[in-house]
Amino acid sequence: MKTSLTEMAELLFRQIHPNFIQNGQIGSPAFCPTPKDDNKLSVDRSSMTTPQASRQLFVSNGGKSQGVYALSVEEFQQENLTCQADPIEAEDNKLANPAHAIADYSAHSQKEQKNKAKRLKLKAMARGLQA
Amino acid sequence: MRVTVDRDRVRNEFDGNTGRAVQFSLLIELDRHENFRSIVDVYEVDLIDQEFANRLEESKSRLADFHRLAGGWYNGDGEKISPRAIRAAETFLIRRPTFAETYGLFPTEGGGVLVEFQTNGWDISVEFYASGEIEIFGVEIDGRAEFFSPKYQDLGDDFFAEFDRRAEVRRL
Repeated sequence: MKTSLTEMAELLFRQIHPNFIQNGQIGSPAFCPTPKDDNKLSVDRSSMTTPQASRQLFVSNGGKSQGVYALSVEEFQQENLTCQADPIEAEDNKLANPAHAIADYSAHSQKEQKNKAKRLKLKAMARGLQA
Repeated sequence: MRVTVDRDRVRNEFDGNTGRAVQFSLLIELDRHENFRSIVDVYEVDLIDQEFANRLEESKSRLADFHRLAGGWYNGDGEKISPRAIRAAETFLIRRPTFAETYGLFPTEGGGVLVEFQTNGWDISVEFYASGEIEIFGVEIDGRAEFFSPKYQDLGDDFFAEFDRRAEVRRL
């Protein structure tokens, strides 16, 4: 059973794919889970890692990241999205990520998810690039 | 909307600049509901503002980059971007260059194209699906209001009427 994140001020880091940044503007798809994600957005917990370390691990595991942005647990909650710890163990050639967490969008339709992603994008951009 | 301009006038005024984007200054007639009725006169045909033209070219170049994205472009996910969605997005940009300076263009995981921009307190998206369908949605930047348009089958009058209502009316 996953543990809910309750520290409202905790920041959660989100890796932004290069195709979702244009002239410093982030595309909202960066904050919307894909069907493969089972309606859950991957993030890393600031209480357990740094933006730099988070990005480094993501890239080491084969992901592409143009930058790291952050949202608080409270900001996700304002969109009625719950956040849960979801540590990932090492497997195949991938390193473990004990700081991994998810924001759960599954209670919302795809349409609703898109506008939630837009609001979260605005908040993340207002906070600024973390790494 | 069809704009009729004398062929000789275009040739005389734009010789050597063929293939460039142009803008029109028109006198139009509206009906009593303020819907477009007809073009009364064409005052000017000018080369489009260079800044606009540059941004439009940048947007076209970015769309061309989307053609080259292979399946799996999004960290192993992400379908190949549909040529139909790219063509529709390019047509949209040409027909509505008003916000060209702020347009952000992004591929979508499902093989479509998303155009995002901000105007008058709203963050608006136009999504061109791989299937050819088009949808407009948006959120109020400093509020909780939001909207979702119906899905449109093409870039027809219904789509542009909705887009203009959502984007341009709010500029007034």
